[in-house]
Amino acid sequence: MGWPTRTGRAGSPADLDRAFAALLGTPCDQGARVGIEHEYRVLSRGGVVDFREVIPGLDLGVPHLDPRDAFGFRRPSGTWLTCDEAEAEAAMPAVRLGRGFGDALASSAAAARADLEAILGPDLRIEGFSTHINVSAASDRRHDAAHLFARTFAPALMLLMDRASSPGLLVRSRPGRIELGGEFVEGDTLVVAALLAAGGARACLARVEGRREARDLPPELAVEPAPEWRRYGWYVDRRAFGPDLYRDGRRALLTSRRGERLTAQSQLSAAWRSARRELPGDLDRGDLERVDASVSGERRLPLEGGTPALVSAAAAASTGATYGSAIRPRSRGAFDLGAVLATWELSVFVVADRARSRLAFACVPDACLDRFLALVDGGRLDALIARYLAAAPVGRVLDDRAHAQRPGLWDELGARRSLLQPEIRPLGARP
Amino acid sequence: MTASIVDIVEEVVAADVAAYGVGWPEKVPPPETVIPGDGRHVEIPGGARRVDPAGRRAAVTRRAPLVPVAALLVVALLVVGGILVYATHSAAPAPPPAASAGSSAPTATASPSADPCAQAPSVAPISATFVQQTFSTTYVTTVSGVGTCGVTLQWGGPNCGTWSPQAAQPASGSSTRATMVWQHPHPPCDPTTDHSNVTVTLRIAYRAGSLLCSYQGAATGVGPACVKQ
Repeated sequence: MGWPTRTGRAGSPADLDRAFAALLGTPCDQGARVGIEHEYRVLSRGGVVDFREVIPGLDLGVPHLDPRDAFGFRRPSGTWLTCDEAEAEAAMPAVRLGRGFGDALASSAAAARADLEAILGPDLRIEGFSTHINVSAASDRRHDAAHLFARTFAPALMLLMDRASSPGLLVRSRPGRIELGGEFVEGDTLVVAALLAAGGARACLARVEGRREARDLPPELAVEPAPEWRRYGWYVDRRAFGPDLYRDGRRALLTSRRGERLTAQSQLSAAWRSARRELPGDLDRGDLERVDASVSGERRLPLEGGTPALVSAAAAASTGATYGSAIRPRSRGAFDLGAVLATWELSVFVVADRARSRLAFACVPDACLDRFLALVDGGRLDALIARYLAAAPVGRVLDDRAHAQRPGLWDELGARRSLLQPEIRPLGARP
Repeated sequence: MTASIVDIVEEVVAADVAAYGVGWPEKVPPPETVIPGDGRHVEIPGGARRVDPAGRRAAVTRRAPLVPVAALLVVALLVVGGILVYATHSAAPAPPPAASAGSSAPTATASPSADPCAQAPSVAPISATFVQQTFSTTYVTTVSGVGTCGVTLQWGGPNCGTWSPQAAQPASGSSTRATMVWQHPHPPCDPTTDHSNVTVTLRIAYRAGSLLCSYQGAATGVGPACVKQ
């Protein structure tokens, strides 16, 4: 083949890398998204089973595609199945806030549950343990926003999610997101909680970034959330506001930082008014009306004995399909390709020529993943990647987070960890 | 025989895991220590060892191997001409020591000396626990190896509320648990969330000098290692 390979000429690895990035386009804002993690306790006839001892024997594909997770596997649906201590955890692909949000969120959660049940077989069963709602938040101010959420929106979300036996709410600032952890909820109860959480987190971000006034948020409460030790963030206990919120429910008397006494119901109403202003206009009317009904009391809260309306898992067929598709090995004319890193923020693919004499690595940020897979499957990257593999490697190493901010082709792969955004050191000490 | 793409994927991932480890080190605060100015070795729980002659406060981090794992894999592929070589595993450095979920911050240790009472005791970093119900923070550390050398402990730092003990306390025996409780309700204290402007200190005086432990604020956490004065 007559490809020029000298650096600086058209066809050099650097040129081909630029051409690759141009084809995939600049990563764009994906809009506000919400991702759900569901934790399940796994049980056998003999009692609780530690899922960490189960998952390695399940033959779920290539392990360790996320180097930060010792147990996780990507499922064909796109769900990430892993362990959180002894519990099984299913992290569903994030869903864009907009039309079809509620159905997509609830059905993908139902599908993940069905998938886990199928994997475990008849000898093991699962029961819901907790729900973590993740709201996208790229802002550097998300730590402040999370702390503000704990002082403003927390009791509202706790009322919408938790039961009389629940302990409280986790409010965390994670890389690229705000994470809110409470009771296990599914079906339309999950949708209601997710909408309040998403709108509330976005309102808090807007406030700390100066785009909203304090009066646009629910009253700030006299509460000092306890620092959390597992992740950067806080724990808001059911009694953090004075009275037991789960015993008194909507009638619980809270105290604002200004010393005013107000009911949990009025805080819930104010929180929803504020959150709703931050939600996009193309949300389905039915999704919003579900929250309206929960807030007004027309619909019972979980701690009042309310039960969710469940949805079918079948509707989730296309949700998150990209993430499931990304881990499927692909064979093109001149090369084969497979994922060696698969996280929500970034994918990296190893590309090998037919003779196995040359490897290269394609770095694909999340916002470009759809397009990358479409281009690969449509053959539109065949020539470019073949040229890259034909060029002599020049020692370009993918080993820095800055490299991972844009699509690129590389000769070598350094530590995969070095490409990912690190966690923030927790505020609290392990008890 | 040509390696399948699945084989290559598994090799790349396995090599990365062998070199850099897998899991959530971020879940546990990384071990951190203060290296005294004499540049001696400091043992870190889990086996990491580091010398810092500058005596600066140094975070002990996982050190990445210098040679990218995938580069080794590419070389192996080129040399063998398509047959996947597993030498990458053996060439890769041993995985770094994993931080134990139960490990605590390391202790500053004493230098050898002829006079046992001239030797600095071992002191763990201050551990603080904030209790919301009582708006109080309890600061705890353990002082070891003081024997009957007349070591004293003196807490200080709080700027409001009440705290105890305020008088110097004797320490003796093989291990003394030193505890101070600071009650800081609002009012009289400022309505800050964590009193991060306050440095709580514990001075441990022994025959040949003193050690100073410090902790910033009143939120739950573990402070830096104690330093020689």
